[in-house]
Amino acid sequence: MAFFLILAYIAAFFGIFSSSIFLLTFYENKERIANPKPKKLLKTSIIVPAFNEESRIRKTVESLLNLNYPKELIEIILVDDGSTDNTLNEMKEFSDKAIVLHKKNGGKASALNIGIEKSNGEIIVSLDADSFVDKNALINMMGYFENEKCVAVTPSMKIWKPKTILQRIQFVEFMFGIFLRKMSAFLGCINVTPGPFSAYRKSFFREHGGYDEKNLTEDIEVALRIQANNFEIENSPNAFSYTPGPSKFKPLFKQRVRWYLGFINNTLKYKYMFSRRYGTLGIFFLPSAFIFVGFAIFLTGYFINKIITNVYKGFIDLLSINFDLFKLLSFRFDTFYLTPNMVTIVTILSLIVTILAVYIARRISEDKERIALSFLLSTIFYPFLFSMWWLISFIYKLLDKDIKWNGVSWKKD
Amino acid sequence: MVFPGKRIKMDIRSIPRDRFLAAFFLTAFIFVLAILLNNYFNEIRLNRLNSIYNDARIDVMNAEVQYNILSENPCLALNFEPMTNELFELGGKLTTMEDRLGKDNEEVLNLKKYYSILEAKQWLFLKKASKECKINTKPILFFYSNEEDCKNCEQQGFVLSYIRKISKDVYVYSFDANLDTSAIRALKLTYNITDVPSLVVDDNTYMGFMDADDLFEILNMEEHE
Repeated sequence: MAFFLILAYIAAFFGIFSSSIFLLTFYENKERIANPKPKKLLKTSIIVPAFNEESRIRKTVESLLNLNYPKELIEIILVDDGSTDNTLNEMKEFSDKAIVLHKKNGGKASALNIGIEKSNGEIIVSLDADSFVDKNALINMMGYFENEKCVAVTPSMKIWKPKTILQRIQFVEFMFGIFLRKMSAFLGCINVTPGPFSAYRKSFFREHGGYDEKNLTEDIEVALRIQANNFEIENSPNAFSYTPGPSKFKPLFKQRVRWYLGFINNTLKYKYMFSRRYGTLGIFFLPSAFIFVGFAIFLTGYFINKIITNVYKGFIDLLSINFDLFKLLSFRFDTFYLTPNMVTIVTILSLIVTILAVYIARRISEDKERIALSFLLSTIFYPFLFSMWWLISFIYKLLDKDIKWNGVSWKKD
Repeated sequence: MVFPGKRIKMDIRSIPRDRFLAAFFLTAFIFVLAILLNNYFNEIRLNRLNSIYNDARIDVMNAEVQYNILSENPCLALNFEPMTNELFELGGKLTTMEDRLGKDNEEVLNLKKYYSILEAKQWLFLKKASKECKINTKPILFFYSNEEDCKNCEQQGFVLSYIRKISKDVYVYSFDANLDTSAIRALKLTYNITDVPSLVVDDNTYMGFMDADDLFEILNMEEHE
């Protein structure tokens, strides 16, 4: 008990310390949140790799056609990664406005690489076929490329019109992610350039190779490779891309295990980056990501164990009074039991920090969606989901378990 | 634009040392604030416990004195309710404080000792007055331990709370068997308490856990009296 309590305090200290760093970063950089204005717009190739996305590809392409960017400077490349449904035919309907390519199924990274190969733009943008973009997304990113060291710009991802509980939880998570990614950009420690609308200089791929086709999360790998080469990744807080987010438990679970397993694999691949040479990313961000996950798993495990023990104890207690519940239903309000203890105070403080971060994220991302209910749901369920996904990802890693994604097996990552 | 062929040290973005320090001190400040708040609330709670203890003590003394003054007809104004309720409330709050401050906390331990003495005093008075006034009361002495050695003690406490809720005639007096007071030592010796949980009903000692049905039987109670 005492051990877990001490661990909980250390975790809370660490959590508040990390949040303070991000909040102080915001405070120091709040005048620099806005996107820099581009002096020159660069020719851009947007690659949309798709595997069995017949129902969503149309909306994706239409959002690209509506981009507020000179048409002569945009090249759209749709790559069908050996879909078994009607995706290719859907793509072909746009063949007068986009280049349509078809290849044997080989995974998203291989589809992106073919797109890069065929592209003519100076900037490469990837866009997952289940996502779509705001009309100003591209133009908002361009100013960052004025800085020669900037090799990639990440978007601000949002969950599109969340409906189910799981989507609402992801909505808050993504909102928090907007804050985290912008602050990470200031600190030089962005570790993922997400599939929905990240932009890259094509020259990076030329010099340092394309996407890693054997990688479970090619977007984490390429981001770490950029950081490993000491280039910069920026973030545009209002280059909005929207993704529906899995609505059901199983697809969400599969997505997260893939992401987290990909993160584990890629940090192992770039383990030499845990060093001062890589600045904040090496000495703070990467180590603290693992420490944070470790704490989360331990504490959630402890909490779940406590719930199970108490439920069992409650059952045994009730058994010894023949389940005569009605006699126990007397409640007297007494402020004595309401005054908070240390754990409650620290929990409330941590919650305030989280609310502050989400509030800032809403402000910088100009979000109008109602968030109270989603925030409540996230506060209750997210810690369990997060810890469970991570724990299972570690187990998958230890057991060297295979994951199938977009028709491809990834065991040999 | 020139791309380096191998990793070279470029202008790496690092958190400035003063921001690290500021974050550390901010976190430390928040924690110190949390500790101070926690201590403040505990102080308030302990003060409340002390005040409840004093009320309970006064109630017991009041009842005793009243009983003695009305020597002609002491049973006329006899009412166990206020003092037993107060003692019961104090017991519940002491358990909460024990959870929060730890069972070795000196202030809690002291309060617990006073509490047990008060319980013993009230129990003696209740026994005597009930007998003389022919009031049907069912006092139970409950010996428990909150060390690891007693897995059923909490459960026994739960069953006793239930029994108390069912019958107004039942009065439960709980004693931490590990508490070193002469009153508890005397009670343990008198009723030969060698193990926990143990119950004493009508001067008979019952060792080991007893569920609601067992208690109904020894208290001669119908299940829904």
